[in-house]
Amino acid sequence: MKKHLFEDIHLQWFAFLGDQLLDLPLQELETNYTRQDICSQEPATYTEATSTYTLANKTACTYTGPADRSPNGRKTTVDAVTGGSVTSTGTASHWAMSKTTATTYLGAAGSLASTQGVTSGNTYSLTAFDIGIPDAT
Amino acid sequence: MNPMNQQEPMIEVSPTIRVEKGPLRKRAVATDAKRADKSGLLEMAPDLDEQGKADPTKQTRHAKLPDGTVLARHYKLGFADALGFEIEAGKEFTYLDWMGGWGWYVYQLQDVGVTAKGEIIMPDSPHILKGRYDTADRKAVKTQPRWITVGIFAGRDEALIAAGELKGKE
Repeated sequence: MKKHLFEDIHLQWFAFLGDQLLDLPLQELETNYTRQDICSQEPATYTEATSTYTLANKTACTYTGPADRSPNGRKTTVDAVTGGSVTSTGTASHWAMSKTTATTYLGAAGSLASTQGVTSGNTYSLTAFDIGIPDAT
Repeated sequence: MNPMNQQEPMIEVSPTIRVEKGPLRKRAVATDAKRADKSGLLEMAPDLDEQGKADPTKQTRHAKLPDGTVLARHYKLGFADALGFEIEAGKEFTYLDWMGGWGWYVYQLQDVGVTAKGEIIMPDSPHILKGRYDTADRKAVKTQPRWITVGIFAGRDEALIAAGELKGKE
């Protein structure tokens, strides 16, 4: 699953950027981006992630991290989710993590390892996955 | 990062109209050519992990389209495109231009139809590309409120003007 907003930061102008600096956005994710949505297509905005294309969601998600990322950089791990609410029937293809308090933002989004059919009224589970930032190059 | 791609706070024009900045959805043809230019970018062939598997979680390089467009790392052959369909060589796929220009989306809170199976019936709109949600059975048995894309604009001011006009009609 690719993490657009963080993995595509171009760090190529820096020879070095300390782990404690890479950890700052990851810690922001861990603290504030705790709503997970499972979507029928890749969301471009907070609105699309949490409403337009959402099929299921879980609030108060937790993370483990930050920690070293392979092959380089730092990462945080979105903990496994169980008991998420499926609100619409469809085929889920993407996940999104959003901030829902104060100023709302889409924090990160990516594709699921494989698409999955979900049925309204059921619950969903999702295994843990990483969101990472590579080292400067 | 392209400074034009920086997020900005959502603008609540009214309880039922909002404006938000985000990457534009675009279409392109996927190739199976594998080459590396001096920047190290490859065309669409996925990176393989230690087990020789194409894992969407372990892509380290960006693919680049023939016109020079740099794609976010997860757009590779065999993986899901932005609409949830598999990206296949020689066929069109949809991507969000995270690395390129962003636009401004205008959304309106609407009651959309829901089928007996619980599927959302998206309105027919040039701003909504049909993804896997599109159901052949479009008979609604109830409705559900959803924020629906009603306009996409290149600039913030254009989006706000359109949103204001929409608000005036409410």
